[in-house]
Amino acid sequence: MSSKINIFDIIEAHISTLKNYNKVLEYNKDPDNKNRFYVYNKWDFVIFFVLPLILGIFFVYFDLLPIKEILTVLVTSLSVFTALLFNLLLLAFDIMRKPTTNPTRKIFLEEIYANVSFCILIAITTISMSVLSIIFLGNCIIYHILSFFVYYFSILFILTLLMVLKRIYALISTENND
Amino acid sequence: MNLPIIIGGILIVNISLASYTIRVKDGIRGRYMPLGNFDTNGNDFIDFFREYLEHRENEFFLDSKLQRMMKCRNVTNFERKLNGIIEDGPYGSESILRNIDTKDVSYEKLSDDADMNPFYFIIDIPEHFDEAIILLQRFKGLGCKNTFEKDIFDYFNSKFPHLELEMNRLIPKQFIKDQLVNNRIVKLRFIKYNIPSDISDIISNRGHIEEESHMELMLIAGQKQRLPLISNIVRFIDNEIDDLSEIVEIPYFDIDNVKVEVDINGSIKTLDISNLKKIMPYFDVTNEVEILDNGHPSFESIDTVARSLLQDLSEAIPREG
Repeated sequence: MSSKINIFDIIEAHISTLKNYNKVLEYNKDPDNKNRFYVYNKWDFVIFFVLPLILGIFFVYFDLLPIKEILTVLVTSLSVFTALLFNLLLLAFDIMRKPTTNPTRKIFLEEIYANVSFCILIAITTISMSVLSIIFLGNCIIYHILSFFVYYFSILFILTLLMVLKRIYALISTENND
Repeated sequence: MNLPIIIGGILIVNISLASYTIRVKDGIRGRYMPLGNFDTNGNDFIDFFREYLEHRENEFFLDSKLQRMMKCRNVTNFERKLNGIIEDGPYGSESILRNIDTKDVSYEKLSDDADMNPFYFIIDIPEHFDEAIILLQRFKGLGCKNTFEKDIFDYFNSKFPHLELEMNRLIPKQFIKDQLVNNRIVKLRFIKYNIPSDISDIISNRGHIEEESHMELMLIAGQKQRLPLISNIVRFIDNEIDDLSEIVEIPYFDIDNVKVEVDINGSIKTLDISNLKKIMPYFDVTNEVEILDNGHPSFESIDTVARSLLQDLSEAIPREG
């Protein structure tokens, strides 16, 4: 794959934010005696990756497939979101440039940056899947497969967006009161 | 009497007085007995203590488990107080004593030689109250409390097997409060032990992570500033406030502990508010006593200081009768 569109760093960076921070400290104190996956929160993986999978399979299995109008609305709304998220990325970058002596805050800003980037990536993926779904609307098998991905990435996008919302709220509320 | 108090056991002093309380407990009824009449035979604790000291003046106490030897001397009795010297020291190891000028060996200490130091003591045994106050001298980090406690407990149990003797540190709240009010508080640390798993919750609480898996929020005083909240901390010490969170309300931050860093005579000491029992009750008297050529304080000088301190402590602590 061309390095210019290699987005695995973004995926990796986002996954590395799905940690229990209290376990991170425990791990750092004694890394030799702990599995490196110890720091990850398994419930985060369940919610962000397994839940959309289950729901996607559920909707497709019961033939609850998105119609063309829904796909069109999805493409439009996600396009708007993508643009807004790029703005958010710039906001996070701007805040990151301010000096801080709090190492936790520095890590937090880097994580927000990774989360917003991942959100944009998922939005773009969902848009692509939706467009392909519209194209392959008549083909039953491909349409079912693409519908599954539309559901999967849409739900993943919403969940990630909620995570970003919480973090941006925490960031801006502390930014205003400092 | 305004003596520097050692907080947290960090300050290294030459000579200090450690304060303790002694009580007699009826183990069956679970209540503390008035010292003037602590058992069914109407025995007075001061008579018991006098008898114990006389016994210890005549005989050494040797504990093979603690590997310590102890003896009392110069015991005097006035009003309902007793004072004197406890000689206490360890044995069980060999060492070489050298002269610091000639560097020659002065003495080769054997394992059955005990290195005894003299420690001043004074005890106030009120007749109608259930609590005696005893001050034990400490010398360069050494003390006699453990040996004395074991000895007197064993002696008491042999005489009164149906009763229990209790010896506890005396935490003089008034003195702690005086230190907070009369000295400058340079830093207030609010500590939360359970770190949230999500980093955004940590940021929301404006905390930062300390190495020992807890979160701290700090209020730091400027050069000539005094920090607020002293009155609330004093109220907590006085038990007018039960919950640490009532000292200051911090949204989304449940306070597990509060530590106060106090500037006492130019030295910063940390006071753990939530656990006053950790405070070592040592009163630094190094500058108040006359140090003799032998390196120990003169009896008269430490006795004067101790009597005054004992008076202050007796007035500062409430005792039940």
